Amino acid sequence: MEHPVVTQTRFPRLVRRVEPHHAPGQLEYVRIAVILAVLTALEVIVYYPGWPKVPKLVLFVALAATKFAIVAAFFMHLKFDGKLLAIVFSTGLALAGVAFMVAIVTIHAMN
Amino acid sequence: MNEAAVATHVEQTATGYDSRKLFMWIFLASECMFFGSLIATYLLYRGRSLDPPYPGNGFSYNIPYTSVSSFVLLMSSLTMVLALSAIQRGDHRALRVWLLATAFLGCTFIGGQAFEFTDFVSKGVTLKQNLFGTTFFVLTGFHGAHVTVGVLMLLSLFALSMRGKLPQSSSLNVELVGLYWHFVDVVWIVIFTLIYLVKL
Repeated sequence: MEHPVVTQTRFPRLVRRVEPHHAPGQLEYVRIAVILAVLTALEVIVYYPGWPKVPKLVLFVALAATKFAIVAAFFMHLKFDGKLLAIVFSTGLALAGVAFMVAIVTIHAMN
Repeated sequence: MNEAAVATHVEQTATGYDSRKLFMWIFLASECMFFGSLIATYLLYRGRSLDPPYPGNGFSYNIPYTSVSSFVLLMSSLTMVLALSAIQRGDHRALRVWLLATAFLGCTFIGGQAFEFTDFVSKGVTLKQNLFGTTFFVLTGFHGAHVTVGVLMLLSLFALSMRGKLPQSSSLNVELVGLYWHFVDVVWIVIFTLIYLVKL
């Protein structure tokens, strides 16, 4: 059992609590991988029909975001670790999102 | 419910996390910004190439082929997490099997990318041809380089385990490599969707 020793912290809510690590078992990992494979297959299925652009885009983004969240939460164990790690990673993601928004605004300005 | 029975020496830190684990997450956050800027650049220049070929003009992606590549990388994330689970319960044989499986799948992905790149070059899409070629190859090339580094780390872990230098108490080392590997997979999820599937 991993028992991190916490000394002093100014952010007690962010620090991981000292409790057993409830990670998924091997079978759960396989189930999660099957879900990810199904989502990937769905993405390919959505690609081919001649659906309108915007709903297709929304579906693609939703599927990708779901896969992203599942890998981050279960395979990278973010769901089972404390909040601090999630905040650190989310900060990087948010800044990457800012770069995206700048790109989109620039595209519109150029158009 | 699976409780990882790991006897790990944990340094005393203010956050309760091993410093190396916190560092790895900070590094991955910086990698988010790195790949975010590369993807944003691709999207910014999409459809603005002057000279063909580019998607929609003399060139199209092979979606079924890339889908299989994506599936391979996704399954490598499964084998990686099974490797971590193995060392956390002290099963060194399973650890080595899953590490090798992850490295093999990673190499398969890289091989698939290499074949795809040569196919694109044969169709006239090169790094210097146009904006599409430049942005596409820089983005996917950097991703491929990250996968290659990941494979080298996996093989290093395998070698350490074979030499008996990766005990159960050092499972954090496998976890850190695993975090990097899963991140590489997650980046490909975004690349596959935004670059290959989405037609803007």
